[in-house]
Amino acid sequence: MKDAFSTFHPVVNFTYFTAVLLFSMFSLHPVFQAISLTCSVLYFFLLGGQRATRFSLLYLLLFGLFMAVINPAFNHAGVTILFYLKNGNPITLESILYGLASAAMFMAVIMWFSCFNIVMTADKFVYLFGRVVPALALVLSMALRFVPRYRVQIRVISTARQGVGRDVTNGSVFERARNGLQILSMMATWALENAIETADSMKSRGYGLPRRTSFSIFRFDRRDRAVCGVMLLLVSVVFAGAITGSSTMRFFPSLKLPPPNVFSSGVYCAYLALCLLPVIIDLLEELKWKRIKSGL
Amino acid sequence: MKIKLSKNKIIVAAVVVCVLAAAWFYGGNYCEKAAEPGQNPPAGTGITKPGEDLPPVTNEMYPPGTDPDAETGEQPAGRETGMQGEPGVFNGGSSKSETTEREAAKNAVNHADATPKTEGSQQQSNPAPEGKPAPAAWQEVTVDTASQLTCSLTVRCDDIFAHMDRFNQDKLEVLPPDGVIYPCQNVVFYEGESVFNVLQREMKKHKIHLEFVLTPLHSSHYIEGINNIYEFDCGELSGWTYKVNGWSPNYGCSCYLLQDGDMVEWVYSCDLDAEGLGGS
Repeated sequence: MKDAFSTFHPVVNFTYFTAVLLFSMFSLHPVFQAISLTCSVLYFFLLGGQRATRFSLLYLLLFGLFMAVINPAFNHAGVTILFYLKNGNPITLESILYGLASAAMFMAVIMWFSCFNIVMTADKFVYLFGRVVPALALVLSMALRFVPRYRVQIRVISTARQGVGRDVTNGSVFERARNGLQILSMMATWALENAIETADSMKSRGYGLPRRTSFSIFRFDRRDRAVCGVMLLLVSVVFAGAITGSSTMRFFPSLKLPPPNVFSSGVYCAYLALCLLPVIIDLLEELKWKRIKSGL
Repeated sequence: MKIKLSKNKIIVAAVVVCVLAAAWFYGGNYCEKAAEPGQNPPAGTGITKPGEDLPPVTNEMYPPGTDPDAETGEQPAGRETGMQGEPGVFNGGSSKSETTEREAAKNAVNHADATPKTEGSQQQSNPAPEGKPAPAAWQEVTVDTASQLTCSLTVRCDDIFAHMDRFNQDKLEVLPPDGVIYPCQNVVFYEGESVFNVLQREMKKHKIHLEFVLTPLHSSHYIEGINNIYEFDCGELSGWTYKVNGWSPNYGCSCYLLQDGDMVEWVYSCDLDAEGLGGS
């Protein structure tokens, strides 16, 4: 399925991800975390498909588990003592839960960033920041493309070397190691040269000069305006909730959730709507397409 | 690419400078903000710069009008020897002026300088005053479980009530109303055990929370929190200190081997240099 949210104006995409990432980073409330984590996984599933989601979930779960174990090993605050470590420090329920909460937060942030990387392509990024901070935008977009490009290039070199019997799969252990290192050294040379070439080429095209115009296919039209309005409304509701403290909770010395009331449940609904926004847009687009197709 | 000095860049630079300046003025001067006239002296005076002379500690520590012994003096004689005998751990431990206050405070609370290996200390750690035990190498001491001795133990944090404005509001629920976490009572210990061993055993026995960390630099355990009241919960200079027979040793609690009949007090101090460290 083609993602409809990616076709919106870069400003909408960028604002959305900034808001969602910030809320995910600063909220420790279990409801907020559950919403953020499930929605990010759901959206990533729509964007990347089943295999990518399974892969990243597996690694994230392992890492989250690690974080959840590490926290109580070093943090012993909390009133509910479960048992004592061998060195005499207590393991408390609060520190375990805090470890789990921070692990969930970490996972949600990583998932949102994975979505961000797919949606915010280099052209959108340069479109947004090419005028304000040209050098930084170029460097950032180059850095973001670095790893995928590196992977492609390493495959190219490896295939060529395989043809002359000098790949990491050829020869004894020592020869393999030497071949691998040689490939790495070629990669480094290529990367440096490539970076300089890119910079030179951008300069020769007048990138970053004041009067230069550039072509872009982005237009801020009516549907962008509508989505932007809805988004800003939701963000302000959630922000008001965060200021009044219903987005976070206290872990130490004892667990304490903010008292639930009508306003906080409204905030949760707003947050759910905000996190589900891209998924809802995608579904609406799909429905519309189906309707048009059946009408033909 | 040549760096051009455009208007935007100058504005950005100015904004950055402004933010840094604001941050500098806002934070870091905690001690000066906390000091109110007539009450506790600014903590900054407690850290003596390398060149300054130490002896008139009493004048420096306490503004005229407040009697240092009036606050905490259980045993004025013990305090007095301490004051004259040694200029205080704080001064000895942090003779380099780079040592931040927070760090210095932490060093000084309850593990002090058992072994004078601190990078910053140019002078040797001051020896224990006469009549007081020298820091012991507790790792080499064997505990003799056959001989049971008794000492008295108290854990209290009533100093917080004098500084409620600084106290971490989240911790109000673990603050006992009378400030006594563990009322004074006689406890049994074995020969060769340190203040730390007794505290740990009693806290565990009475299900009172205790967090500590072993600091190899001082070869002692450092008590971070008792009953969920932690260091820094009542301002940057707060933390747990201990006294034996009214004297605050200038070394860590694991290095103090107890004698029969000793009186051990664990006290939460909100103003470290004013109360615990001026060589008291």
